[in-house]
Amino acid sequence: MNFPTIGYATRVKLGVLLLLVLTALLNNLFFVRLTRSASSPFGQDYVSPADERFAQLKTDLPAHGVVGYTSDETDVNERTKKYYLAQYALAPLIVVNNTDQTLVIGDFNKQESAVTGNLVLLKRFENGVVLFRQPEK
Amino acid sequence: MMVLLSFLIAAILGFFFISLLWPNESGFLSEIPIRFCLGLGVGSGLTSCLLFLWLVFYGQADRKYLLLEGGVTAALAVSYILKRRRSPRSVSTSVNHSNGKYQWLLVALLVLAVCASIYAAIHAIIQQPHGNGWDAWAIYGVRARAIFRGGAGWRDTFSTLIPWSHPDYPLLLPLSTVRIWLYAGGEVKAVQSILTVSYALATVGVVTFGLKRLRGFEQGLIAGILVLSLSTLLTYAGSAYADVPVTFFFTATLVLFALHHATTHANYLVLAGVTAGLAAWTKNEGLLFVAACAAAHLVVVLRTQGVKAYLRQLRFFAYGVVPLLAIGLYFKTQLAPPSELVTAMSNQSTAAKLLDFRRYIFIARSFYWELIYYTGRGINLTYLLPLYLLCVGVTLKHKWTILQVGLTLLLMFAGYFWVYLTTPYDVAFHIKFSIDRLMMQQWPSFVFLFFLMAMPATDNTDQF
Repeated sequence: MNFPTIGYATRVKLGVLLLLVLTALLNNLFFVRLTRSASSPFGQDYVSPADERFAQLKTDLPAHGVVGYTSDETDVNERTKKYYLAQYALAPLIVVNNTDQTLVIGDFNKQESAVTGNLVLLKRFENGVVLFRQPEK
Repeated sequence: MMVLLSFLIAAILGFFFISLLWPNESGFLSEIPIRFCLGLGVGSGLTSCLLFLWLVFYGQADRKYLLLEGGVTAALAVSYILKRRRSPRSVSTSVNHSNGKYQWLLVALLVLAVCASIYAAIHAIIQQPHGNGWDAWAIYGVRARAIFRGGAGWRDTFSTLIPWSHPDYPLLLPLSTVRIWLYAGGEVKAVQSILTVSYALATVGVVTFGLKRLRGFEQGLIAGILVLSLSTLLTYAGSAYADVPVTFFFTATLVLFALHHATTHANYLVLAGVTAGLAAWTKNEGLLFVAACAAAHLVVVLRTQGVKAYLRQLRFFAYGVVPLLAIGLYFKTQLAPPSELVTAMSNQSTAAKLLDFRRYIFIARSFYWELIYYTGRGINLTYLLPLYLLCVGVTLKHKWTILQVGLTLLLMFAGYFWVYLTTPYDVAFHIKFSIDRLMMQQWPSFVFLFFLMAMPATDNTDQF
């Protein structure tokens, strides 16, 4: 049986093509493997639990408008993240990161922290979520 | 089921829109894949514009909108069928450099890469159904929710009271999500991620079938595999970032410009205008891209055909881009507050930044590091590409297209450089959280450019 002869230059070209294509494919398969591993670039879902935390609170809030926000979180990055998660959960309400609004949402790690200045406690929900209002003048 | 239907309707609308403008010079069947891939992205983009106009004139997002979308889709389908009946059948002009022996292998490898990417995307979506990372949910996701839930008060989402929420960002991705929720009758998790994954796959299709038309199927297949090899593209697709749709529109525009150079048919310019306009409706970088495209096209056409030809071609490009820019302009001037990048700038501090030479070095070094050391996962292909080109050789058959695409990429990088140079944020912080995405946005276009230049490796001529 006679095999067709492939010239040297063609073999080099095919070799480099194979190198390129297989390296590209290897990258692709490596990424697939990575997504299934503990070091997945996608990490754990922290948004859904936050959504669930604020689900009950929504029924006690107006459909539109601006509400305040406070938290006992000491870590700045974590506090910022929690604030934006509250905004995401409660849209279309606008959540402002201060306690100057008529209604203020408390987002606490510890229940005992749920006392904030002059704010009047309106309702305590599960998982450290609290609704306050401004005191009457 | 309704989510699937919403994707299908956007794809059908996009397919008929593309097909209506697609020149009749090529075979009907052979061109279906590229029209489908273009239609997938363009359909989603155009329906988001339609929903925006509905919001502005009707006042809120509700299911009555679906009638409008259905009507537009039906009208496009009927127009296309009438066009097909009137126009004579033609023969395909597709280039065929294919050496059938290796083609099946490359098809199998691309299919494997696509399946692997879909598998990874499914994992990503299960792990992070709201999208992975800040931009996905804190910018685009929150806007989609506010518009969907907000009823007549949907405009509240552009409030400046929420810091860092970038209310000036264009609305393609949030509104595409909202329209799918309208079909579903409620909020469905992971829709935004499915959208961005579909854009990533459509980008692969556009590069593959665009090159099939210009350089043969094998070149297209190799390019498709290479596009998917970039881990940042897959990461951001699974993470529901708007950088992926904008990548699609950048690539589609350059492929359509290339088809115009190859055939001189003006309709490709209209379509390029549409995709460039949709890029501007996806991210602010899109505006830079429209300017870069027009400038690069000016250089090439002035050099080859003169001012008159350029003005004529610019007119066709404008037919596509102007209506979409008008929608964007209305959004920017009537609804969105000014961009934080602009408002935080002051003439004095910008001048000081421009005179700070260390800043130039820092930015240039950051681009260099991203290119050479590659912060994505897996092997950096940057080193292999010159070796590949050295072995297979270079062809300048499409030299004007190569010049235009290359120039557009250069102008885009110059624009990114300028943004970093004048950014009101800490430049190191700004670069850290965006440079990989900016590189990713240009990757499929770069691969397209590369395979426009590279000789086919499976060429039968046994010489270097």
